[in-house]
Amino acid sequence: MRWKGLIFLAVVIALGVILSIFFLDKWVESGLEKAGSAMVGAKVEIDGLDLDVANLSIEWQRLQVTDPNSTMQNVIETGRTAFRMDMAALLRKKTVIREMTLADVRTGTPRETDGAIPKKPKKEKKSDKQDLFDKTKAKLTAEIQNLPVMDFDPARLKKSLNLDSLIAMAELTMPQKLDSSKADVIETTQNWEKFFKDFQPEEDLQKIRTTIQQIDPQKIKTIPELASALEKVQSSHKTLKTLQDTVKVRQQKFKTDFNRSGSYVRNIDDWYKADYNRILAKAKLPDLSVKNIGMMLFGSTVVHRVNQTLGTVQRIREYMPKKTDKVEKKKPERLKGQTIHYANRHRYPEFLIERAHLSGQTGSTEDAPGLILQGDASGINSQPWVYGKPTEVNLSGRKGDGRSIHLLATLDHVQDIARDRFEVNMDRVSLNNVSIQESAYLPSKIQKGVAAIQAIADFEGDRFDISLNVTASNLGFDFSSMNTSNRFVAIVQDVIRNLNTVTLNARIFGQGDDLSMKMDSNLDDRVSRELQNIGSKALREAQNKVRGRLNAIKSEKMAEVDKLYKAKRAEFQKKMDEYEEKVEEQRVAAEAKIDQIRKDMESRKKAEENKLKDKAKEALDGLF
Amino acid sequence: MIFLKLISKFIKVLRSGASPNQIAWGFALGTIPGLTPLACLHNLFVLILIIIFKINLAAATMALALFSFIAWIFDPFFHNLGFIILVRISALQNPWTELYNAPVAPLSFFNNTVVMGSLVTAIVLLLPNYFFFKWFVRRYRDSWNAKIDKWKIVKVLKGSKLVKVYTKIRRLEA
Repeated sequence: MRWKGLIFLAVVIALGVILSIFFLDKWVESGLEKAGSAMVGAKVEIDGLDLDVANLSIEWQRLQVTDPNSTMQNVIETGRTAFRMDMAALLRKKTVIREMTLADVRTGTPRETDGAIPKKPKKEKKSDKQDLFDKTKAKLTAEIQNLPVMDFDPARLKKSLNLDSLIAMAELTMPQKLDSSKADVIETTQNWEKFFKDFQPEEDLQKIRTTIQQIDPQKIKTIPELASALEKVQSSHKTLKTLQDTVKVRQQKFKTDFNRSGSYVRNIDDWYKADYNRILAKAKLPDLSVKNIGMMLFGSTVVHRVNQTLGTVQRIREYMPKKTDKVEKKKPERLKGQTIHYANRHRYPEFLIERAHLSGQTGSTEDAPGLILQGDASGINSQPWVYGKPTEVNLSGRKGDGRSIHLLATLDHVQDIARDRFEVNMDRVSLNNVSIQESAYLPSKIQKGVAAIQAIADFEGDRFDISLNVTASNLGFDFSSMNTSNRFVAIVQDVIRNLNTVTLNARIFGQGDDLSMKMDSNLDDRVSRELQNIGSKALREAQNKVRGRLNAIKSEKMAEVDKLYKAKRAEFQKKMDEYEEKVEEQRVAAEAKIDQIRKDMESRKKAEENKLKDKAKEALDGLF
Repeated sequence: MIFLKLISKFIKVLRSGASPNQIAWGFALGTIPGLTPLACLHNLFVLILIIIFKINLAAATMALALFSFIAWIFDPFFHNLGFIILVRISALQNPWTELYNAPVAPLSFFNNTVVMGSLVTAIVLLLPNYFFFKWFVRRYRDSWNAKIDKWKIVKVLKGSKLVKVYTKIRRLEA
């Protein structure tokens, strides 16, 4: 036994205990500040932390959480806070706080020093869930960025409408298509000219006519001669039938060919319309019947807020992951390893605040206390499947003048599919000096106004549905900073000035890559109507100019094709009709002749038969 | 200089009056905190063992320094081994679950793959290390010490200005 060593160890332990008594509070305070700052992305500061090891209680006098988006103010600041940790859980390396009271909570308080921390390069996110949220955020931003730009100046419109260059840029298709139609008409007529050159039925028809005319059954003496004559006429009739079939088939083909060649007549209006729209697009002539004005005006602000919400849910899901049945092997940092968790019989998550009571105010100063806040949060934990109950937040704020706010949140990550729901109802919220996202149509700050806001965000796995209903009254913007010749902005300004209430109903929902965004505002119709009133004359003139030029092109090209098409079609149709008529005429004549010969033959046969009968009668009479 | 200091200490330990047993146990036990993450509960137990029993502290420190470097190289192996022991071997799942739910045991970080992998490796190597170092100390004292002194490189090193300056500084420090 090494007594000296034992004494040394005892001294070291004693020193450790003494140092802890003096410095443990500082160490814990510094540790909590570092962990908090890493989570928030800006400084988290704790003042006057006191750790009572014997009772496992922690108390601090002040907690400041810097707003990462505005580092000279705190997103939240609390007064004295005290709580106790669960001893049994702590012995199992779990931080469990049964009850916590956060009193004198205030939001938006100014900071004495800048709360920014040097930003570390972001690590690449690996999980699919984070990728999905990131993709959604990027897609929403892209949707807003791809909205049509409303820049409408009637004077500039008149000046800048250079039709020659517009037509060159627009690459019109109507003249090309009419040229193609003309080429088709030429080719078709050439084919038919060749056909009529080769098809000469006159000679055959003349021969048949002569044959039929020459045969006179009265002049034929014997029945066999008559039969021979019938055969001749029947042969001619057969030839005529073939000719008639040929003419019929050709007649059909003629119709098909000329209908195809003449299709330009049916399509010309569509080609014209397409070219007209193409020129309008190149001329950037605005669509005055535009309906998504709400989206143009408030889209970027709404999407910014939605992206913030998505980011919050993304972060919540990162810190409160859903249950995974199988332990997946990870590639941890060097010397860090992977912590494996087993079935937890005590239902202690790694970190748990079972119940937190909150009271405070939204105002940053004593003189302007803002809304008086009060609420509870339960089940804030890092392993929801161990705790087995969803996290719930219920926070409400009220002020004597009727202003109120109510937040309800349920974060259910207990099952395989994470479900999160946030519901915010705000009434008579002041919009004075509220910042909105920068836009080409509105200033970045609302000067004054009062709003009722209802927002509901539902998340289930990768499906989400966010709706936002805002009714703002007495809305005022300081447009003086916006000097622009864009009439659209001027109209928006006028409409907002003259409207008592502006409403916005937005809904953004989707699953995976499938994303839908709808935004309706009572500004839509008003702004669109004003825009049409002011802009319609200038726009109509511009449109007429485009139409006039297009009509000229259409008339010129159409005349060329039409002339050729109509002349040739009439010529060929006349020929076809003539052939049809002549063949029919001869066919009728041949059929009449056949009929005449047959009748004659029948009567002669009957006469011969009677003769024979009489002869036989005479012979038999002599016999008896 | 640290490297020279370590070699000098190592030789001093080998030439010291401590028994080969004490030195060998020092090396063997020093391997455990050397291979495993230092801030773990089991290392406190190892430290108490080293202090209570007459185990050579210098040898343990040497092993700690040497094996800390080796541990960094073998970290992926420790992670894989720890994962197999903690997750893949189904027969061990119940004991681990019991331990996970027991008080104090989770404070040992036993459920960390690197801690488990390196601790198991260190425990497996404990006796072989002890016997190897015991043989090594005896062999050094019996024959290698005299032979090494005759090596040209040792003579050159002993005669070099750098070593003389270093020796002077060490004496002055003393």
